[in-house]
Amino acid sequence: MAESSKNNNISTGKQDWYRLDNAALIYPSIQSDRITTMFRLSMTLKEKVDPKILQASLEEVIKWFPFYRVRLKKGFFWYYLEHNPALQRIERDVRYPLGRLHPNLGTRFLFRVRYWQSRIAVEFCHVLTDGTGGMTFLKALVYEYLKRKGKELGDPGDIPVGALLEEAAEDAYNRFYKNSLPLPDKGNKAFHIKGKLLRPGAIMITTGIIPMDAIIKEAKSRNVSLTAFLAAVYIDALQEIQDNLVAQNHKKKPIALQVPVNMRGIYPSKTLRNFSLFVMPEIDPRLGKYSFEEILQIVKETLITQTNEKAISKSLARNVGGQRNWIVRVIPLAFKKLLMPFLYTRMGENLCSGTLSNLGLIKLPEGMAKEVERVDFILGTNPINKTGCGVCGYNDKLVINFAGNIRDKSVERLFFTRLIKMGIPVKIEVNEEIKKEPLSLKHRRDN
Amino acid sequence: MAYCVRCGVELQKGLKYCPLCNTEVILPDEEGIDEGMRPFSDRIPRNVRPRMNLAPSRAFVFLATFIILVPLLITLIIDFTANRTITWSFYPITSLVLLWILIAYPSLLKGHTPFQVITMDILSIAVFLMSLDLYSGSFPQWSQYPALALLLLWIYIAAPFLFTWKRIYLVIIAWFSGTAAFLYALDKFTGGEDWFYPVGLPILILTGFALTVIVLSIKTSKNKPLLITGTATFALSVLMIGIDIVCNLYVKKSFTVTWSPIPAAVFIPSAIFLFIVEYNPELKAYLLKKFHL
Repeated sequence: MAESSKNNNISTGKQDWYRLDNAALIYPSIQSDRITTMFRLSMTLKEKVDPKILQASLEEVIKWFPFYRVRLKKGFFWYYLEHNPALQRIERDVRYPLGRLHPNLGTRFLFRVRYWQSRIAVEFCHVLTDGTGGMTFLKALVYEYLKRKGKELGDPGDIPVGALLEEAAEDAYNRFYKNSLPLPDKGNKAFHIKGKLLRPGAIMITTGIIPMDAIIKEAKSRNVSLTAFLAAVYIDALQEIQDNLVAQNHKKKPIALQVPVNMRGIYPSKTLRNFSLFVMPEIDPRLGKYSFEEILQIVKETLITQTNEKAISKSLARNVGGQRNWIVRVIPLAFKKLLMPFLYTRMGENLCSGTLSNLGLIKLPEGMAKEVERVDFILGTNPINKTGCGVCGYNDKLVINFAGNIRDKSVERLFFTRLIKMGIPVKIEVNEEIKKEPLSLKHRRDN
Repeated sequence: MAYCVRCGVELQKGLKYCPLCNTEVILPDEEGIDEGMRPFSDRIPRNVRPRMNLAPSRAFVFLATFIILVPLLITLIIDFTANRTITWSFYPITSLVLLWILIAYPSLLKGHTPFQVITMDILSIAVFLMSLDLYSGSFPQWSQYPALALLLLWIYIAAPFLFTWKRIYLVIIAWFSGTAAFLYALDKFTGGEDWFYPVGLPILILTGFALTVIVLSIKTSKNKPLLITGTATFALSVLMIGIDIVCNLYVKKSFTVTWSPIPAAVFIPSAIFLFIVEYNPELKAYLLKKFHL
């Protein structure tokens, strides 16, 4: 009762505030120049972007998403989101996207909209939403933009074209929380790739563009889903890196991959705020070298056994249970902030060697699909795992974006060359070319 | 369409090296390297560090007002019911009022400059101390010393605000005259003119002189850290010799030096060494080569 009366001013857009959802709780405390907690979604259109029309569309669309038109504020016990009376300005794109947003300052928006040539990109801080919510916003923004450009778009389908219902702003984690479930496994410390970090803010993006039918055929022939196939390739690449670094088997660490799961498919919720958890397919190289088929089998089975309501509800119960614990609640925010980074590394990043987030096939209504060339999804980096992999498919192309904060691109190289060896063509794009001679040549000259 | 010969991947137009394995691209596409083809813009945003707001929010001041009000009323009521007048509660009440001023005034920072806030804080602390002194008997008993010290502190803080660092000489003059006045007043309050003219003023003049020399060297020889360090060490050793002589004149009534040759024997040769290095480019280059970090 109290909850609903607090938040019921959504339609008027005045004086409303939102509690952070369960997944967002940790992000304000851990975000820094290195852990930006951002992700980016972009659509490449067929024509050059008109910034004036884009700004006008943003000002219209943000009215329908009042829970994104917020700034982060500090309460005494928790952070909260407060209506931001200012209007977001669009920006020109940059070479290093996903830069920090400084949400802790309490004046800024928690997302930004950028344009470059024919591309419209939104970058969201994870405090606001996950990939699905971000994609809904981007779709609505591009739809409105194209409509204002005077395109014949036809039926919008599931794209919002007006004020959203209140359920879009719900904290679905809390709604589907079940009390007193057993705790999930704690997990082991996983292998992390090594490398000197780039300066804060710099980010290396390697995009692989793959014909959809070729990769789907390959996955089908092995009888696995696309996500399982890509995750297996990723784990195999990480395995080779660890094999090159560590000679003795008993010194190796488990290789685990964080694969986010969209919980809207498991629970009936239409929230546009965070509602995802992850499963972790894992291999233990201390037991010996895994063949690709073995990895594929493990990943496939993990994805099947862990992605069901029963298994997911365990992690949900742990996360939300922590948030509901009275002892945790009465600790003032200043002290909570000190504990959060510790929790984040201990229970999140330390346990996995990389992240592979697959947004799936992006479906656009027919009229809009004619105007959109490509869709990209890029994950932010963090100093422990160094690289993350965002995947999304659109039309006949699968776009795999690796974002890393080290110069070395071994993971990317091993990942894409594995696909090449299977006969899947890959086209590579980068945001910054490293203008350096090959290492072997340089060595010869020095001597 | 260019392909990497080692990885087998197709490459974005215009790349000279394969981004994955760094192998040189054979027959790269020279044409079509226009801006529109590149996936990202070349703009690199400036890394602006936002300034932190240290002033408490108005909501916090509002809360603090009531939190302070409660003990204030309690002490007042207890004291009044027991003694029918204000006796001991004067101390907690003035302390609470001071606390309130210190908390509340910065929150008005939007309308007031930091300088005004600092002035207000120092003034209220001085008034608080003097009121305590006044209430506890004959005035002035002890409060003139902290009050004067606070005044001097205010002068130190205020001078850069008023004159700005661009007119640093005015700032030094203000600091100098403020300190002189403070020392003179201390001398007066502690029983007549005793040590100000023979000791206080000469040391102050020497210090001011050394400071001026250092500032002058920083202003005139920018990007010459050796020269500045040399001048500063030289000025410091002269200052120490001067202090030594002044003290001996006052205590022993004789023109001698006692301890100052020891630091001078360290500082003056180092200063000379630094000057030589600065004006000898060959030596400078040699030292840079040998000691580069």
